Amino acid sequence: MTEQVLTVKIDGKTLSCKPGQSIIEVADQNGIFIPRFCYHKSLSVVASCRMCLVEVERAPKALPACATPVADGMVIKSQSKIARQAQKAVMEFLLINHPLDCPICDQGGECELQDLSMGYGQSESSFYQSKRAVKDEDLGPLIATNMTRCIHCTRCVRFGREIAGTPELGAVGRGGHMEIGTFLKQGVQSEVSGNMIDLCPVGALTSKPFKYQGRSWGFGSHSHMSAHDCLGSHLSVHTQVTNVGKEQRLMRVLPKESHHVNGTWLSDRDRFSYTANEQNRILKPMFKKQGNWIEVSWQEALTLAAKKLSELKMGQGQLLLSPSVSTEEGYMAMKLAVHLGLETCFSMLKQDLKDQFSGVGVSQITMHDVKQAKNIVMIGSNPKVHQPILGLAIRQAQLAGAKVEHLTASGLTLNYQATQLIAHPRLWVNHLLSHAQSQNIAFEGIKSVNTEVGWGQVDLWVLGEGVLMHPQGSEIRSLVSQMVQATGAKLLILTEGSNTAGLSIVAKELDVNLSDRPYLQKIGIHSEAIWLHQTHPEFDIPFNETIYHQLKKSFVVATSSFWSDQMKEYADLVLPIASHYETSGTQVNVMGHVQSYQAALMPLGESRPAWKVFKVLGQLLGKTDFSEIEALSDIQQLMKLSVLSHAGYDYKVDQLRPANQVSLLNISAKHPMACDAQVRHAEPLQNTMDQLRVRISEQTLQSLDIHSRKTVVLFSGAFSEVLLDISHDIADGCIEFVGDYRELAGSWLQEIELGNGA
Amino acid sequence: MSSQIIHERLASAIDQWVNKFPKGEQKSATLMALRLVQEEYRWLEQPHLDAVAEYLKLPKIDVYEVASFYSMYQHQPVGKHLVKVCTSLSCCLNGAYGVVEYLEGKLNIQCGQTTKDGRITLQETECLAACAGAPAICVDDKFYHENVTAQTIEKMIRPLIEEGA
Repeated sequence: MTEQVLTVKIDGKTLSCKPGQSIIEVADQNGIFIPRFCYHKSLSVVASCRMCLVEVERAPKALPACATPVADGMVIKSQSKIARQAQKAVMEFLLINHPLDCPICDQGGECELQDLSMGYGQSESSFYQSKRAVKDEDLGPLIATNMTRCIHCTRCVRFGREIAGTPELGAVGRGGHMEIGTFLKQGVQSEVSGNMIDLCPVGALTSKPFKYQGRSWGFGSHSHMSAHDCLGSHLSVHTQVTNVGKEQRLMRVLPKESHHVNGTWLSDRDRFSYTANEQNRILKPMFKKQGNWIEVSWQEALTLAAKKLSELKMGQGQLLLSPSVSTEEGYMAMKLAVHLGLETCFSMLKQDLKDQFSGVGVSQITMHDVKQAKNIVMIGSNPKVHQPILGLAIRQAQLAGAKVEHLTASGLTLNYQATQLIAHPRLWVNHLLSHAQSQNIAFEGIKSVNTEVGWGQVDLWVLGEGVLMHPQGSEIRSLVSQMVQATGAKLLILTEGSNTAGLSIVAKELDVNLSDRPYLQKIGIHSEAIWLHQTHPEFDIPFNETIYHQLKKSFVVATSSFWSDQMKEYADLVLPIASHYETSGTQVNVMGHVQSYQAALMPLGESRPAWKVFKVLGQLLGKTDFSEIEALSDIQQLMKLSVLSHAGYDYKVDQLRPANQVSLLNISAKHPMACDAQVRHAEPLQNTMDQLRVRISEQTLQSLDIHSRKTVVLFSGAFSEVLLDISHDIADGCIEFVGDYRELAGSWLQEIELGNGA
Repeated sequence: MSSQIIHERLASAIDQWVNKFPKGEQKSATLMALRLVQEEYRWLEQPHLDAVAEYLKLPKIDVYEVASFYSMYQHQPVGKHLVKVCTSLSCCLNGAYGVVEYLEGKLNIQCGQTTKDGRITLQETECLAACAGAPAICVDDKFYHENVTAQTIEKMIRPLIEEGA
């Protein structure tokens, strides 16, 4: 069947369009501008601002272009006398209560109301009474409010309801007393709340960290990528040249529209992590001499690093590499590591590396597949928190009718409807096997067990952090991928950091010696020298006292952008590295998109792009192939990223290892606001966290013989008293930290001990 | 907890309204649920609103929006009788604010307040749909008084003041 095509005329232009389209959609597609405030292409139509009134022939009065569907032969005039008069009248109404504070408003210069009042406003108003004033509400550390400026377009309200799935803002009150707010004055909690700042057409909701920082017309805009989750949202990074061409400052980060990743949205973490760019940075090469840090020149620092590293014998050193660095940087680091015989690890969370090279970095799936899925099973995954943009996509699928099921160890607060099967992680493999049995899928040599799961025919599997950290992670990945092959379903294996995929591909090309068992156990055994690249082990890996002492004993070279308090204790030589936004490079996201970006600004202080540092280090170590690399493009040619030959997952498990039996398992994933050094230094994001609590079930407390009901004492790490959150929404034998648990990095999916508190 | 506020009798009354709408459209019963809860407790405080939201499985803000929109919902303690003076356009032009002032003097309270004996609350309200009889007053959400004058107000208010005294 051919699709019906309608013909309409807008401002004299004859245009073809589809039935069901609104006038404003057709106008937008054809570059005809119709003014608007409440209309947004990603949100529902409310037609409340009336700014888009246009004249339609044979209609008795002007009609709103956003809410009027096109009809064949319609003749629309957006510039006629009737239309202009209607638009001007609406503008006069909107300006009645809007303050004239543009000079002190952060939206000034990029304000839709300001822009349109230039075209449609009048210099005089026929309203002589006083303007209304609205009390501001504190919406938290990210969004600044000035509600007197609000024109009640309700874009923010609709965003919360329709896109984010967390209806927090509403239109409270009536008529002249209507106000946008939370009613409870509790702030907004959404993980994508920053989008309301972009949506607000006026200066009512603006960015709090960016408040009074600068005027947008002076900014340079650079395309970049986010580095805090495996999807890699597209960014527009704004910088300003200050001090007459001498210094550049990172001003703010906005989303850049991209259909295959983030659409028009951005998570708060990606939006506000820029605030860390000047915080606690390493600005000069430093060397620790008899316990005191002294500044050294790059020449001295590099010579010293080369000397220390060249003294190592095979297998005596290790490289711990952040999974969020660019592929080029990772390629150079691993190339050096191969030359020096260092073991390499860029899996900070994974406890089970049997299937390291089975292409787990890339899943053959697109965002479109996710939104089209009909029956989604998510294992150990909470995308709302860890990959917010994926959470929005799952929500879209669910709203379109998909069934979503979670296999999780504790109840999740989600922004879509889902069934949650709460089970202890050691039972997860069992659940998978019984699902396979119900679908008549057999695994050779593996006995199946009987439990009712009731997932039906699954067409999308998502494996999250819970599987990444799972001691039987290889088994789960392998079982699911075999089921996927048998049924033709899609599989998405979420990875840590932003570039596990890129690093996996070049690691295989370089034949890197990756740790074949939990990295931590190794670190505890031996290591003369440890090279940390953009990572702070005390936050990034399951950490404990033993590792700390090992770090203190070894010669630690840190190539890093940020300091950490403990790093000053355990590191011996630090080389300042350009931060993410100061770096050019390439990232490969979990869906296999290869994306390159250019540095948005010059490196701060004496810091340098990592690949240059590694090149010089390679040369100093006498490796001739490093001298041939002159530019970033040389590395890109060497690493052959375009051939994604390692995509897909092909590891097969033939025998199940027994699940380890621990009395009390900590199931907390790495804290989303502590995922990397950049985020850890972003103060506004750090301020979004609630107080630390420990979630545990009544039965578990009883079985541990703990009688306190307010607090418990934690025996892992520092002995500390923690508030209790007794819940029936968590599997027995498990505990989970909620709120601010950054400091408790040490014990993800590990045994933990508790004692009586108050 | 919703079960403490919306007890069995209230729940079954609300359910009758929920069942009038298609499944999954229980949001449509918000108005009646709020009215029933108000009839039971006389005014709606936040726990009442939260209870309705929880009972109807709605986001809290949805219920707050409805409850704050309609002037028939009371959010603060009210007296035994409610006297509402319409101050919308027609009544306003016909001297509604004179009516308010007269009543304030008569009852010795400000508009929005309750008399000391807890007998009468005076409020402004949005249009009562009695524009032809402006200015209009509504007593206890049931009795309309149109074209009010000082004399008719006296006649209307005396029984309320003297009742049971």
